[in-house]
Amino acid sequence: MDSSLTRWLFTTNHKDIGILYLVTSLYFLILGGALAILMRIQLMLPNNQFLSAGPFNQAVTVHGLIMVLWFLSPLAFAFANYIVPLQIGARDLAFPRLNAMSYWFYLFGGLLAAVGFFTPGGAIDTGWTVYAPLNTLNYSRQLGVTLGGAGLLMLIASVTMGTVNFLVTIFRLRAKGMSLFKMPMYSWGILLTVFMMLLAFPSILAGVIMLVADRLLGTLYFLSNEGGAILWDHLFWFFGHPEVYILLMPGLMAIAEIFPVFARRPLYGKRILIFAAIIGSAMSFIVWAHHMFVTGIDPGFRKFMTITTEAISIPFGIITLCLILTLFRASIRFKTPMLFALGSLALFIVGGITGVFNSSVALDYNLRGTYWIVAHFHYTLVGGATGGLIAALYYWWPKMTGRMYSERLGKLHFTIYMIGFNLLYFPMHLLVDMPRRVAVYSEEGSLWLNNYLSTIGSFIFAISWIIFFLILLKSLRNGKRAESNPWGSWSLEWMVPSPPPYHNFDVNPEVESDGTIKVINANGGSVESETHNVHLSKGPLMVALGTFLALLGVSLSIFILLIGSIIFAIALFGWAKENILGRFVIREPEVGERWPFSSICNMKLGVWFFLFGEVVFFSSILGGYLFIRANSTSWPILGEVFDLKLASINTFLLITSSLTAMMALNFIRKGEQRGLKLGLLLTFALGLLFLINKGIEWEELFKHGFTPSSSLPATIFYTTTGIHGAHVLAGLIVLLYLLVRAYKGGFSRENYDSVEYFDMYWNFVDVVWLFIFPLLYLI
Amino acid sequence: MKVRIYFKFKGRIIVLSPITAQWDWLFILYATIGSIVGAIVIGFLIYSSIKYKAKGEREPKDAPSLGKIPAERGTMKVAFVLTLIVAGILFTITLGTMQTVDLIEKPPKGSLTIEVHAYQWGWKFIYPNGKQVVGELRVPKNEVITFKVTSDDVFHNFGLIEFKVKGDAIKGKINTIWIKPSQAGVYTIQCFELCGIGHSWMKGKMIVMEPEDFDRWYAE
Amino acid sequence: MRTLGYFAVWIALILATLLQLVIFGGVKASNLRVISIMVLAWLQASLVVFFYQNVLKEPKGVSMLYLASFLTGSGLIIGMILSITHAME
Repeated sequence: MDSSLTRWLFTTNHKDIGILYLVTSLYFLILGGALAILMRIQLMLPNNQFLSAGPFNQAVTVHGLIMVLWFLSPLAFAFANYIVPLQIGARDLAFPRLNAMSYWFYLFGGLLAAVGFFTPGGAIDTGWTVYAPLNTLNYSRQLGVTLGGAGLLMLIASVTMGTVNFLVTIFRLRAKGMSLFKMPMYSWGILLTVFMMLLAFPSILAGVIMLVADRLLGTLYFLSNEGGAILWDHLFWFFGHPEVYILLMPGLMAIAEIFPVFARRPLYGKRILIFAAIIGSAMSFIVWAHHMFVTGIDPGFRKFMTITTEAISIPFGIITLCLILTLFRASIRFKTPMLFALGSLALFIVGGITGVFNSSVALDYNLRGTYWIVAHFHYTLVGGATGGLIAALYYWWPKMTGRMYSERLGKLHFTIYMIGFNLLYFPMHLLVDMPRRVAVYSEEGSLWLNNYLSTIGSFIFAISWIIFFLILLKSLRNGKRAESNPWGSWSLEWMVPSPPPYHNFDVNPEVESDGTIKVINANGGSVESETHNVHLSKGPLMVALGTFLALLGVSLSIFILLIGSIIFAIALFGWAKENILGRFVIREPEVGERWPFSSICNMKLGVWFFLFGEVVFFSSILGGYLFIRANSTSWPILGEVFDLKLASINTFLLITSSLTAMMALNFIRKGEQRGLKLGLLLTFALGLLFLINKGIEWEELFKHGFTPSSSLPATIFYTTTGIHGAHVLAGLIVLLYLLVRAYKGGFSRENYDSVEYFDMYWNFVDVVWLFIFPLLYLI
Repeated sequence: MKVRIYFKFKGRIIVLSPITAQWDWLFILYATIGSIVGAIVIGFLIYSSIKYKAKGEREPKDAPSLGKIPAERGTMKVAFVLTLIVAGILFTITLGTMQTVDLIEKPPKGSLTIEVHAYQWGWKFIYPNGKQVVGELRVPKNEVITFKVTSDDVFHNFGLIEFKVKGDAIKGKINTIWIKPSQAGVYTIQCFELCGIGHSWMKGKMIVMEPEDFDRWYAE
Repeated sequence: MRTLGYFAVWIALILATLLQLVIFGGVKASNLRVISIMVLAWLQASLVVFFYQNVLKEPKGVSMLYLASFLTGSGLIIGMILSITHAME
């Protein structure tokens, strides 16, 4: 095995990337955990002087952001990357380079957010919820908040890429006979997780873009009373509540994966459990306002959200009960993965029950903003989600490293973990009178005892993690060699050696109708094994690095921005060159289970999924506009105030460019190269004219004093048309690539797919404009 | 709804405000049902773990085996029963919530209305006669007091710890909460939303006075 | 045949926009004006989705998910608007 630096920097193999995710997420766990310990030391005694309020707020915020976005989900995606392709019988993810890029965006995003600690004023300190208007420049001048926003942007980009990739992989790369219902539970968990991610992250993206615009361009989204706190609340929690289930689902499904193996019985009610999980995931999109019960939103709306929130416990209750029923009349073996699975299910039940309390508007009037809430979500997200993933880590560790860990030490880890956890978080339930995120509390009352106990618990909990890391290191140094199936599991990843060979399977696996999985083991097969070098690419790392520097530059200095942009451009160019040279042509296996997407190719399906995310993104942007407008007493109709001519011309330009794009596609379908070139050129020209015309329009409006910070209508006008313009620009860049390819004769009657993908995107951009035009100018 | 649970105050059992009693009642309803459900479920989890611990190497008939998709088990009927049980429990507590919400959100008539302005980092109170105080609020005993809560800058939360009500303080919005204190004394006001460096110290005092004392102070 | 269809859609899109402008210029600001302009916008969007993006020729899963993402987005917008309290003080 090649273990050079080049391998890790330029790899596109799913198992390598899985390991990168694992190492990075555990690194962020240490960082977030250290911050938590600092907080607990400060809160150990009343009126403590260990941390002052500034650093304390930074610790609170960065702890939350890191644990939620840079530790928990990425840990789940470490296994998703490593295990899911194996489980479904694939050689790799559908888009390996995109997968690598997703990892690098995640890493650099985290660095960008953490860089804030070294700037004057420190890191972002607004709480992980980044509530408005504290997040605006007026109340938080420090660079750290802008950098936090930039880090979030990179993370969201990473999530989007990962989401599209996993959806296409799970839908299209399953082995023959591996129907959706036959998939192992962890793959199901990831499928539902990425679905929720696809539809939830766009709304926070919209929110962060508005925030960054407020901070850098002086727009008024979150400073205004019409938008402000409630607008942020909506955009944040519309993402934030599904996010809770995004964090939970992989852990819960890891438990569902582990229980049957160690209980030696099949999962009870696999179908019931899967249906419940699907319903729960869908419902997670209609409960978000329970985070806003006390903000004074409409009472009827609140009652609706109370009922949906209490109802969402039904599917999760069913999942829990199915899991427990699996143990009935079983023959349970208490290895470390099973202990963690059992423990984390028990803790999740506690967190789930306290969650029902929070769903009540009435109880929320007192519980809101207190340590009760902190206790609740740590029971679910640490106890339930993290515990489930730690169980998964012990479970798949032998597969990923080829080494066993010490069972004795694993059990010690579990014991100390449970004691520490409960001592740390249980007393928080009793701190109903203590506000969250206070750095100091007074001696009066009885707050100190529970805080003291909690801090002691946090030390014990920290020790359990030290033991955990020692177990891992010891196993890597001198752990026993692992067999290919140490636990007596059934699924595909256990049918290949530990660790699996580079290309996973010599021959594509198959599932027969009686449920027998057929796979010819590596080493036994005949296909020549591929080496790492075939699939190394510099593109992903360089694009991410360029983006990182560009975003850092936007916040710090033009010079860094320039370097970043140059790297970005060169990297994109290299990427396109790899495409034109035909490297990274991913062979799709001829046979496989692809319901319900059998008659569509991977790339096209990927573009579709991306566009679905975009639908929610533009809905969020336009939703922000409609919300602000509904809150305003008067609103000028732009078409009546300013000249409509330029905007109308733009509508005609864009509509026509859609036609020319379709004509280009039509020509190449018939193999007519000249028509293709003409069509693409015309589309490019029309798109360019659209942008130029837009520039003229903006300049005109600027002359009238209609600047982004002059009024709310102006804020919304520039942001909305600006984001749309950016989409047009991105389309033009892709179009440039298509033109180069077209002139090099890269398309033919059989090979015109990229033109088709471009058309799908371009038509979508057109549709968005068809809404923006009337909404902004005419009504 | 009859008040059944009482607030213990300095050794005596009293009801501090109608909402506190109702809130306590609801909380105990949730806590009782929650504890029973939790105890049964977690108890069953522990019970099964102990009872069905593996004895020797013998395996159940349908134990997972490598390269074989496990058989399906469990019926839709079970799922249906489970759903009904969970839904029934939730329905009961939702009814309790709806009743309590109506009490919290509909202030009785004839009240003293005080504007609450939260700012970084303190509280300003404006009385109907234009009297303004900062940090220290005075109200009469046994009277309905309605607070119109708003913010002058960032997102705060006006929390009356002993009275078990809170209202978000948001610029440009007015949120209403009410109390009817039955005991004179000094109570805590605290901010429950992170609002910057001064969040931890954003506290105030609410002094509940005998009505005649209050009238004298109010007329000053 | 296909070319003709594309041109027909293009003409319909252009006409719809012209009609929007005519309504905008000719009718006084009113709910009726807003509704008719938005109905035309929806019409245009569906033309592009059904005849340029050809969504119906894709696997059923694609159109279902298109609908799902659209419902998610609308759910957010509707929720935001509904949340605005009507009992203004």
